[in-house]
This record gives sequence, structure tokens and C-alpha cells, in this order.
Amino acid sequence: MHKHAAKLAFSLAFIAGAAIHSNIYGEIQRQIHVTTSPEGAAVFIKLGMRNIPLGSTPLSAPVEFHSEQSIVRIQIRKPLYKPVMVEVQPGSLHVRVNLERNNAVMSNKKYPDPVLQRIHEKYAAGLVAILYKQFTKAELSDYDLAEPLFFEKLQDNVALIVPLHLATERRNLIPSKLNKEFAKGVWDRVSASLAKPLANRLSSDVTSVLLKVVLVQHGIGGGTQQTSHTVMTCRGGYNYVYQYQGGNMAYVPSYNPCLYQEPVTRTEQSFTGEKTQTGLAHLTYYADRQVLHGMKKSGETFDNIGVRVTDMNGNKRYTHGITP
Amino acid sequence: MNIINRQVMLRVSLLAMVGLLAACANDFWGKYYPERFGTIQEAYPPGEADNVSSIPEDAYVRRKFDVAYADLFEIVDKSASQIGIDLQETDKQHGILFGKKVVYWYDGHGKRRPVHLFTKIMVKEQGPRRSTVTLVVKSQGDCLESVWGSCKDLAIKPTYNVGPDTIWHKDIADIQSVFMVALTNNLNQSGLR
Repeated sequence: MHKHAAKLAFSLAFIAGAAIHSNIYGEIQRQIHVTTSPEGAAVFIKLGMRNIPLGSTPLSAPVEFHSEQSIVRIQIRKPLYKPVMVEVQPGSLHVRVNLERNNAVMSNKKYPDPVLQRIHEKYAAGLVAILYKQFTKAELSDYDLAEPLFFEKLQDNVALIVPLHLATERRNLIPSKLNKEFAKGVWDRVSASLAKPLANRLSSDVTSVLLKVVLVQHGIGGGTQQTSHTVMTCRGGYNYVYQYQGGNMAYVPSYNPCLYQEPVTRTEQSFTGEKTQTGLAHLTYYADRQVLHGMKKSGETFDNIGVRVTDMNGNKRYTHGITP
Repeated sequence: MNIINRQVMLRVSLLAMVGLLAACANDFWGKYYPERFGTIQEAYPPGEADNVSSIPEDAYVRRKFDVAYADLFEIVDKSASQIGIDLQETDKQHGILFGKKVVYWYDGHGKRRPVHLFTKIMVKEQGPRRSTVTLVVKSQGDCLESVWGSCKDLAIKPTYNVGPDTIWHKDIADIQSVFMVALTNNLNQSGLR
């Protein structure tokens, strides 16, 4: 009898323990509801550095929590509106947000040149809307305007400057050649997605587009961070297409603001954080490990790899070669 | 008949001697070159407790962060990969990540040989915005018992059994600090710290 009671007590304790255990550690799934004013904002789960898209508002979507006390960060973004971050818990699953208009990207810049002033007033707002539409369409969620776009006199023409900001999670501090190739890839994507809509909108007033792309790359080791600024230019021009016009075959001019794509003109690598030799040595060492991890098989020998860096003062260079 | 028997005996004893020599040599080298590398399951048997109360302080590293569990687990996962830990098993539900890292050690003869480090990272939720990370590292030791050149008892040395003057200790201290540097840096980058 005692034996049975002991068995029963043990079983009950085991079940209770398992229940408590699952309550604490189990992943709990709940349905969250997000509404915004205005509607149509993109909703993401923010997990570390990752953005996991959930959909656009109004939405109901399942979200996993680690426990009843856990929080999950939700980011809500809509072009021309300030992004909003909210925290949800299993007990508070209804999110309602009034989005605030982002005036930072819609500058009221005053130009000394009346021609530029007129062009800005005429095109700026429309171009910003086109840009954000393109970001959404091309799923370039990491893109944003770094500062308001503006117009500039470029020789005898007017240039449109679009300062783009791109945050990337690609964090290998790789040799500058690969870095440039990466920047070129970004350039190709940006110019391809922007060229046509810009061409449709711009008149002959604006003949060139300069895209200033800021790549923010995260480095590891020694508390350092790499930011590379890449300025790329895109010059406008006319394509002549042989086609019917007024019943006759003729060369018809077609304006393309990205007809001449110039190569990367400037690439800078600056490091914030630790400035010491030790910090840089750490950085280089692990950059090297990353290259090994990413490009070579484990155990395979690899060549001497050097990383050239510029310190925060911008005047001192170190080149580290590592042969493991 | 006697001559044949003697010849057979001689051959058999010669063969036995060669075999014995080979076994001894294998046994000797086996201490430095284990016949096989251990597995994560051998390093951290399923029944092993998650607490580190029985381990000396320098054998593991633990940090507390004011970061939600989901964010911290994600960043721990990334940071471990960044520093070259080959994550082999990730259990988000229980907050455990098992991995392996190969480092190289030059032995007394100037020969470079691989050493396997087995890592266990534990992420625990302490509150809505507070979690802890613990990194435990064990390394593969010598082959303790070799039978006919084959390693029978493959030791997985816990870090705390290794003397502070050996190369093992240095590697473990290195992986601990580098992991924490990468983790802190990634938290900074994410704006979580």
C-alpha cells in the first residue's frame, strides 16, 4: 500500500514538475493584433539585428514567446512616417499606433539659386514617395534616406543627390576588393530600381542623379565598428531608340538618368570604438578567422591575409598580415 | 618435424613481436593523436545538469544583460558563429547551444595538432528584460586506454582539470573573452546595450 502511494506521489510530482517546467521554458504561441493610423504599415518582429516581416496593418499574426513574462519587440514602419518600436507580452497582445509623419526626409531646404529652389519645390516630395515605394517593392527594407534629398548645380546641369543609408548585417571585415564588389552590387540594385521611375518623373531640368550610399557594416572584435561610405555617381543621358514616330521610323530620344554609371568613386573605412593597437589586432585576427570560416574548408591552409585600416584620426594606417 | 615446429614457432613469435611493437607505438602515439575526435554527446551527456555550481570560477564565464531572452538568444547564436564555433545543436526552448571549435596546438616536438573544444552556451531568462549567458568549455584530452592501437577510453577533459600553465587553459580563456567581446559588440550594434 505504502509502495503504491509512494509511486503515485512520485508520478504526481513528476507531472507537476513537467508542467512547471513547460510553463517556464516552453515556447508559447499567441496571436497579436496590430492596427495603425494610417493603415498599410509594414510590421516586423525585431529579433536581435534581424527583422522578420509579419505583414502590413491591420494584421493578426502568431508570435512565439519564451514564457509568460517574455517580451517581443515589434517594429512598425511606413514610408514617410517615423518608425515605431513597441514591446508585446503574452498578456498585452493588442497594439494600436498613431504614426507620426517624418518631416526629416521632407526638407524645406532654402537654395540661394532660384532655379534649384523651384526644382526642389516641384520634385522633392514626389521623389521621396517614389524612393520609398521602390524600397518596399524591391524588398529593400534595410534602405532608408540618410538625410533629405537635395539638388545641386553640377557644371551646367542640375544634379539630384539622394543620400541613401544602407545597414547591412554582412559583417566580414574583408579585403577592400571584395568590399568594393559588394558596394558595386548595391549600386546595381539601387540604380536599377530607381532609374525608370526617376526618368519618368524628372524633366530635363535634372540631368544627373548622384546616389550617395552609406554602407554600415558591423565588425567584430575589440569593440570596433566599421562604417564604409561609398559615393557612387549616376549621370543622365539620352538613349536613341529606333522606332515608329508619326508614321515613320526614327531615332527617338529617351531620357535615362542612370545612363552612365560611374564606378565607385570613394570608399572609406573608419573605425569607431577602440583605437588601440590591441583592438585592431583583435579585429584583424578575427576578420581573418571569418574569411577562413566563410571561404575555406575547416583545416585547410590559407594564405597570408592582410587588412588595411585607418584609425579614427584618419592619418595612421596599419597593415596586419596573419599566417596561422 | 622438430625443425618445422621450430620454424613455425619462430615465425609466430616474430609476428607476435611485430604486433606488440606496433601496438606499443600506436599506444604511445595514441596519447597524442586520439584515434577519433569526441562528439558533443560525449562531452555533454544528456543527463548532465545545467548548473555550474560544481565548476570552479575560471572554468566558465557568465554575464548578466538587461536584454530580453528572445533578443539575447538570437545574438548569442550569431556571436558564437562569428568567432568560429561550429554550432551543432540549438535548443531555443531550453536556451542551450552546443558547439565545437578546433584550435591548433604545437606540441613539444614542434608539431601542429588539432585540439577540439566543446562548448555549451546556456541562456536563461531572469525577467522580461533581463537574461544571463553562461559559456562552458571542455576540451578533448588524450586517449586514456588503447587496445591494439584503437582508442577505447576517449577522455573529454573538463576545463577545470587542466593546469593553468598548459596551452589548453590559454585557449579556453581566449574563447571565453572573445565570445563575450563579440556578444557585447553585437548587442551594442543592435542598440540593445
